[in-house]
Amino acid sequence: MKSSHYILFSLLFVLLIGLFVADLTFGSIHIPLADIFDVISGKTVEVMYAEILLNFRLPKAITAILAGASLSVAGLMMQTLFRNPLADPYILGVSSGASLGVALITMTSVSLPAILVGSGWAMILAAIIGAAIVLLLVVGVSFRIKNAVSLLIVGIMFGTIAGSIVSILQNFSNPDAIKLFILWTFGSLSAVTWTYMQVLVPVLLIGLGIAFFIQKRLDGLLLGENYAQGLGISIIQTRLLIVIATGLLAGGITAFTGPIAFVGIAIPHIARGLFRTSSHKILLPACLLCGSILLLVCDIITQIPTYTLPINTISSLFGAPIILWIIFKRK
Amino acid sequence: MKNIFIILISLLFFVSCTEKKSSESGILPVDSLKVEYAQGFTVQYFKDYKKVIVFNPWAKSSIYASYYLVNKQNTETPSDGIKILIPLKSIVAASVTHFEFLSLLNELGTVNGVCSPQIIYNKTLNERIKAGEITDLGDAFSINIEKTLQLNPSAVMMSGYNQNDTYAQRVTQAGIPVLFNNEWMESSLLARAEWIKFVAAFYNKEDIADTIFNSISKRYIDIRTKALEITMKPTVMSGSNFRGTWYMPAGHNFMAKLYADAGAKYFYANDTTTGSLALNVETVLVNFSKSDVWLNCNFNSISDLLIADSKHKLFKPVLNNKVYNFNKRMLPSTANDFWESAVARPDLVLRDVIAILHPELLPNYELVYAEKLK
Repeated sequence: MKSSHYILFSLLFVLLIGLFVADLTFGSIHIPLADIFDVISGKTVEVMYAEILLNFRLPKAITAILAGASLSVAGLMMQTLFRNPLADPYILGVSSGASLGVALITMTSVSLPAILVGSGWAMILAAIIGAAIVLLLVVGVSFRIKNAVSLLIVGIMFGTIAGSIVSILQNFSNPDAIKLFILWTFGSLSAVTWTYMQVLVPVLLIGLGIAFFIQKRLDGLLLGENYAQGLGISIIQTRLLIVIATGLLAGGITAFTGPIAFVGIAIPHIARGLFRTSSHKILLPACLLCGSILLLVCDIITQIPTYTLPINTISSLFGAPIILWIIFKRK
Repeated sequence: MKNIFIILISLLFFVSCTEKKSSESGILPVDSLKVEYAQGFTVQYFKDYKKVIVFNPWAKSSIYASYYLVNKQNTETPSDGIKILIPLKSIVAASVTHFEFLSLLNELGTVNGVCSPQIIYNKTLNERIKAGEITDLGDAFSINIEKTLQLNPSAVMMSGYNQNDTYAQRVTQAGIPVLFNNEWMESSLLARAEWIKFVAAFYNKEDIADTIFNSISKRYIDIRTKALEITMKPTVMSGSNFRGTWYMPAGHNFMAKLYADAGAKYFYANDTTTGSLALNVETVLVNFSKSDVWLNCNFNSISDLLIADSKHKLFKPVLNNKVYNFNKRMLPSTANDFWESAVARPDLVLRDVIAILHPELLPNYELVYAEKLK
């Protein structure tokens, strides 16, 4: 690692901490900074402030970091696997699968036991089941086909099928059911409470663990599958690990927050632009940091107005200009 | 012998224990509120508190929410529901469909937070919003949590949906009770209007609510009886065509029931589903082109209707100028009182429809919500 990399990493880390604190500070109501420190240090302050900070803003900020990190790392793996700069974590169809699951329970009479609906697990379980089914299909197919591009097309086709079924359901649904579903597709970082966090965090850690474990193989894949095979990398096994890790990361986040577009596709480019390397040893932690930073910024923007803006659109609005800037700067 | 004695003694002990236990947990309600039409809630009266139960409209005989209403904060209540101090001093009303209940009970003054104020028709509320007395809490489907906690109302009243609501979860956790007013899931207009009794329970105004509802339901039933006595039943069509798909009320939709109560003939009256039927224009042309009246057509003039789709001129009501919308009480902001106060006033809605279908029953009647397309 070059010394410039160390400097960049430290700068990004400081920025991350700063934005994390900013995310706790800004919201649709103003809480004085002194009160924020009192709440964090456990001193008794106004109950309402403690409630907002500890049970609302804090899990939301942590979710922003988790979602940003997971989606960026998943996006990087997809771009490497397919050697395609337009690949994103959703390209295998996991988010379409998840949205089909959610559409089925919000817009049809398919319902899970009332206890699940009441506790909030119904929507999450539906999303997980939907994402897992699509993922298993893709994994199954990945054993049978030789090249990665076919896998890409298979993923897109599964996604299209799921999307079409969702559209048919919408056609026959009442406005309130459609609105519930549309709201889910907007994504929400504040949907993740402490209870859900206990399930979400281990899933993401396993996904991230796999990603870091296979970083050398990812470097090998960049040289082309034949070349990688020559280096002694098992293509089938690596592909399987990538698909599983991406499924856990993208599927896990989507199940709990709904889809969050653009982070997965944009951040790997930003990381490559900043660090000027294609080594995954650098890019993986870089994506982790940059993704978390981008989503924290987006969360701050969405939460300030009374009419909360959808995170899914803000992440795109904010991320697209960054990509354009990087492309023009490279020239 | 000795063994039998021991068994008898222990049996006696066991019986006495269980009896004591049952007398402790089995407190029976002293009385319960009379609810005639609504299926979604009950109010039971106990010695020290009232228990309000909201049933889950999506799962038969399961409970959506339970509340224990107390007049004094220190009254002890069972742990299977939320304790609420009543009468409520302030309330957030998240849906416009709840305003008229509060207005009829003369409790509109307790509203200190609403969602999307731009779609509110109620004059009093609009004046108070202008004066800055009412806080805007954002969209009803994603209410601003931080602003709600800052406002700290005695309760939040919102519509329940078939999913867990993280907003409700968080606000309740912070000590602000969420009252689920599921009036919108009832299948008849009278049942929806009866939710005034649910709202009244939180203000100790059940007697007033009962009087108001009885007079509304009496007016509804009286005019319905007259309309059903007439043997000539005009045929009606409903809804409008949106890019080739026509959304018509299903047979168990409250609109279809309204048409039946008004003495109309409706093609899908025997359909057994709720919600809307998504039909193609061909089906509608075959079954409805010879209808007598077109109701709930969401256009403001016949010329707009023909510009939207020239096929509309194939319908008899368009040629005979018998097309009506429910947009009479509508503000430029698109706030429409038909979706607001009409929920609590089914008698007025039914009178409107009857005045259109059987004008001889209500001579010189001025329509309240409905209006003829120009």
